[in-house]
Amino acid sequence: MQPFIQFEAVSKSFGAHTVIDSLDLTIQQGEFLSLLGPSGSGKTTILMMLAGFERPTRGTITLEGTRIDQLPPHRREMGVVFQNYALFPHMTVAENVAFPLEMKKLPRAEIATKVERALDMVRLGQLKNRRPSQLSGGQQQRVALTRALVFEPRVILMDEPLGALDKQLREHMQLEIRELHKRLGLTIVFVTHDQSEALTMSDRIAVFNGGRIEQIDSPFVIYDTPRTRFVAQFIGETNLIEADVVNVQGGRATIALSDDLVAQVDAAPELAKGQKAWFSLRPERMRLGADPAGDNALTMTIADCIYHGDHMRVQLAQGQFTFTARCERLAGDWKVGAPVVVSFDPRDCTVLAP
Amino acid sequence: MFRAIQTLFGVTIVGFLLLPIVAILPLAFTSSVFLTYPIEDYSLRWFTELATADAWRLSIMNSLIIGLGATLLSTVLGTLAALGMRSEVLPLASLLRTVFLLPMVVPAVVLGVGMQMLFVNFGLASTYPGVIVAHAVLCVPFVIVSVSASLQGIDRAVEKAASSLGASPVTVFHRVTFPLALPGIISGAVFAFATSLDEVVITLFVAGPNQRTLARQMFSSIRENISPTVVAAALLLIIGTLCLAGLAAALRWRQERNALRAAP
Repeated sequence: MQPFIQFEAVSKSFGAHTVIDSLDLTIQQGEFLSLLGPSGSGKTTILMMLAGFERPTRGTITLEGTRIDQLPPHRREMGVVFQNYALFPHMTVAENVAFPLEMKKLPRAEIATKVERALDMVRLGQLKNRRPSQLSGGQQQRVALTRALVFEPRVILMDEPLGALDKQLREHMQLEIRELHKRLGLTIVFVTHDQSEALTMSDRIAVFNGGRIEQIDSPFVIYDTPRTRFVAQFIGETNLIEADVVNVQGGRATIALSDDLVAQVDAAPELAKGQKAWFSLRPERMRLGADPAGDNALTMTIADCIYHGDHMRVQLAQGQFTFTARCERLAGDWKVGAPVVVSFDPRDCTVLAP
Repeated sequence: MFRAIQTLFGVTIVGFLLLPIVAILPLAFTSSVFLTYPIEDYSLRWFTELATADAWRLSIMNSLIIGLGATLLSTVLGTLAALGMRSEVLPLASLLRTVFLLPMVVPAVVLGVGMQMLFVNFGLASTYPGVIVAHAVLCVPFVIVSVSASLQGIDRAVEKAASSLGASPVTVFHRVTFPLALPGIISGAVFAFATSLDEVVITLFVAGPNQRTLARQMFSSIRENISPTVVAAALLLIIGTLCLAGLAAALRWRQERNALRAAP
């Protein structure tokens, strides 16, 4: 299948500073792709090159087989939702939404119908004669979204669109956007630095770091089997410790975190005996207390116990290491300073090449 | 204690600034031919004089013609300059800005002498276009400052949004940038008109007897025959200027309120 959008060897430099270095990326039609990374990792630059506000220094971008990287923004038919919404302050809500349709030179009556229908869809019909300044943040966000959708662009680009909203509204909008994506079969490229947002909404996540893609996969794969140390640390929370590979046998590896701390893990194919590696274990995969059912049962000391409402966070010390475990609130009564047996399944650990 | 001194100081300064104006204005309504107190009888004869005497009538007309001409010219040029200096691609933008704002600080006498010599060569001396151009030079900085400020308040993302929604650069300008900058352009034009209205020095150099403006006429009539007509004219100017300043302030207030509200 021909990819819908394709970046081929795209580089972007500002003066001597290279932001994107020879990037390849394909986006399928109807896909919700998140570009996730810390600020300055190049994710917004990718979006701006897609929208046409930046031109690649080298390489090509194609949309359905046609080169678009030299086209000006107004010829690309992409709906962009900006971080601060970028609504036209001098136009009413209805005029804002009508703007892209007027640019397409649709007949007046058709524009009116489409605007009406689009605003009703996001439940803003009542507010159509208001100015953006008279709306709440969430309402402005919905207007921006509607304006970007109403002219049926080929792709929707979103640049941290939920960053300015409070937590509750943000979660609500996440679901709303996800719902729109499914219902209308939209292709969405979504830039965010919020990993939980990316995990909630995306079909695929591309994790950016320093202008390169560290890993691009479905949220499950990204979370459960991160391929690099950066991804393991950036997505979710993890206990990350440098270890020595002591033995590799039949898909299992034995690694030593220190002389007296040895664990069995599922081995990646490229792992070899005698190598240094990074051992990653998610806090919620650690089990505390008796019943060491797994292959790994280590004795550690409870250093601290923090109450989080729906769960507990237990800090565990062992030699020079500290681990964090996440447990059920009612799972037990943990006393600070007491020894405890910690167990985990070899399948739940990830070992990453250095 | 300190607060009382503060208030006293403030009142003194305001009085110092306003008293000369307040002291003279009632004389516009005197019936006497002398500019002296006490006023024995009140009348509007000096306003009638202003409206009927040829020299005064002509000068008021001239002030309006030249003021409107200079306003139009300087608003167009100043707006274009402000737009041009906004783009980052122009490497000399900051240098250009300094040059454009120079007429604000250069002594008017210097500008006047220079323009007179220059205009003689172009056949512009003692002509309406000459005076209009001369005034426009003085007005342009006010327009640039005002328009630049309002352009600065425009979120670039709004223009980007317009172009991503299918608007060509020309359409982005006339549907988004221009309407958003309009309050700044109008208040720049008001300043320009006010500047032209009370300009005397350069007018002395470049205008002929036919382009005598109201301010220039007041200046010469003070020297030739001190009559209360001058005070009547001054009252007219002050009222006009206050109206314009009020208009500019109202526009600025509206713009600031909008900018405040637009912030997410």
